[in-house]
Amino acid sequence: MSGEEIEQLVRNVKYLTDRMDMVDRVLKASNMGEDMVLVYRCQHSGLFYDGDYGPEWGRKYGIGLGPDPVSECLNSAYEERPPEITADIQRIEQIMHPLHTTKAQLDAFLMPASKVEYLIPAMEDPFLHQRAAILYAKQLVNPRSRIAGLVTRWEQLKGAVK
Amino acid sequence: MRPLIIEDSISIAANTPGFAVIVANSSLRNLLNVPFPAKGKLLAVGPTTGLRLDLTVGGRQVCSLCEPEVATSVQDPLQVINDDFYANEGDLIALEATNPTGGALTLRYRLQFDPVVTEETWAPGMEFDVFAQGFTDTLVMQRGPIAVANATNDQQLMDGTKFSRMQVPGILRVLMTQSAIGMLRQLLIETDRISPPSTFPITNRIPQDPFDSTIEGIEVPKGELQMLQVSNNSGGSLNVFWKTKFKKLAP
Repeated sequence: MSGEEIEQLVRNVKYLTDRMDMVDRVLKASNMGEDMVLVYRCQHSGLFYDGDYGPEWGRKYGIGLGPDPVSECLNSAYEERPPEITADIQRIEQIMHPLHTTKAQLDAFLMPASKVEYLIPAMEDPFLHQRAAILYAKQLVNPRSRIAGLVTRWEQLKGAVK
Repeated sequence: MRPLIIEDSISIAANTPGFAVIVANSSLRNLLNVPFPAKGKLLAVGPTTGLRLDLTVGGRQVCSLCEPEVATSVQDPLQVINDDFYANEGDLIALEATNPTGGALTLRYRLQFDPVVTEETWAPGMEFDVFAQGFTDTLVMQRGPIAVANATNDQQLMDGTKFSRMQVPGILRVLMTQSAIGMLRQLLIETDRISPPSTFPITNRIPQDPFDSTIEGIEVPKGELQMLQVSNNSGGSLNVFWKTKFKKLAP
């Protein structure tokens, strides 16, 4: 870990607390090495955001989600019906249970860098293309989902048009 | 007389332009026309940023490309988009939503029409024009998030909007928020600088009325260009959210 990275880590920790003495004690007690990184865990998904999530809220993260940091993670609303298949639908992937921002709580963690699995930040996917594809795949196999039946219906409709 | 209230939530497929919202629910299809001369109100929320709404009543557009706030339920008055537009008996209500994102999204909305007449003064079929009585619409535009790069000076927010130059005089009200601190805004009407560069709320959301109000009571003559500008010299990219309410002084 470079000096600049350590400095960034200390800055991020200071954002959370001024009690650096306590942080030192925790680090020593945990026998943590230099590959530890500060991350924020989304309580909904269990996945992580970078340690700058709090300081960069409103700049790199959470655009439009209000003044206080929460998770940008998306989830599927299985209790809501998917949209109807109409003549305007061109791809079956347009039809899925609607998505919503979870706004789940975030917790700060010090984690070994190799074990951190990051979420896709909303700013890197403003039109939801990457995240919708991930959630669509999950909807196809979720027992609460009604998507599988719609895929069959879509195939029938396509066959009827041919 | 009782108000007409339409409240619904509806899923809109990914990459869908101009989705006719009310018609899409078969149980609401008999409510497509305003049953009496009325004052209208629209509230809406979206599950994430991206949805856009247009509302046209009786052929008059009263909400143009309005992006609803990210929230789970419609709360009055926090998520009011427009609460000052009028309709005659029989006027068609056309609420259209655009979902430009790659995922299906749910729009939650409430449309309310309160009668401006009483049973003593009006009966169905009677000739009555609300606009002849002096009522005038407010036109609302509500956009965001709009990225403003670092070292940007005087980015025009209303560029490319249909209603930056109105063909009737009116009173303009501006509500704005920014995603983090660092931007300044100013308003010009044609070449007159109405409001000097000033900061505005840092609430990182679609503006709520009246909490995020920043400029009020600006008289705009017929045909003059409204220019809402932002500058960002904060050292990094920021996002701006804005809402204009243009109260027409003539029908």
